[in-house]
Amino acid sequence: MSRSKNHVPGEVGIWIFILGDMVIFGLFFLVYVYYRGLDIELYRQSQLQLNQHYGALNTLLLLASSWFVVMGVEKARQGLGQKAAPFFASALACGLGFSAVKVVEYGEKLAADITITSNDFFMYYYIFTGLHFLHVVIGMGVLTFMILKTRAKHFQSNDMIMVESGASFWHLVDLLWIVLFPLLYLMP
Amino acid sequence: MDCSLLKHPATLIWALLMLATALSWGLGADSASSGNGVMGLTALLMAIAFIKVRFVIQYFMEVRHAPLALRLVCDGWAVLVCGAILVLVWMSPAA
Repeated sequence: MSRSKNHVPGEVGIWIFILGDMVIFGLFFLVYVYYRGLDIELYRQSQLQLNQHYGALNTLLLLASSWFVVMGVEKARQGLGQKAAPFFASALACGLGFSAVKVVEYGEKLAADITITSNDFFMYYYIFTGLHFLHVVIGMGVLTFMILKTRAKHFQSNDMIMVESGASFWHLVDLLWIVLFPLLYLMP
Repeated sequence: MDCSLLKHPATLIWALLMLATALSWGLGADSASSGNGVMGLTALLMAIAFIKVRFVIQYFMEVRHAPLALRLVCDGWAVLVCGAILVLVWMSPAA
């Protein structure tokens, strides 16, 4: 349904927001890489204190959540709102899993007295992952709304634009983490 | 589960994304033990990350069905950001 070569998935407004966010995070990535290059040993030593497994596990959780969202959108597009809702609920569960990992990770860092003021690396670590986490929390609110909307008996194809907007936002959350993971946890 | 979902193109893309993540994870673990080949390893990790990003944009966000302008903006962003990261690493004293 409506997937010609000229279909924008969701509201134009949400795409302006998504592209704006991509530009802002793009600048964050460059600032981080620039300053990392100026004090590489400090960044490497600090990076070793991160648990790569948490970063990787969270990448896998967001990728899985994105797949659930794609499947949910597919069902909703077929007019099967009731069948779409469980996919969005599964995506939400992955988002909660991501949040739990993040809370454990922050908890371990804070218990080891590693805070936003510890050094430049951890300043960027807390700001970038914190802002990303804010996106995850907003995204989970959006997913909840999508679940309620698709479960409603009167779900109609003109509700699709809202479902597509929410889905596009959730994929943005996944996309940003895909770059943050190697930048913060893996770079040599 | 409905079998048609497994045949959906997004399912193959998702499997590739999971494999790419496992590959980066392995490469990152190696980087902790060796200080050699910084530029090569960075380039590999960034190439994997931005190929993943492109898959997400094209197949999950459905930008491949979007108007040319949006496709160009998204691809332009990925090329510019990835390219600029690599140039900054290459120019840094550590590389």
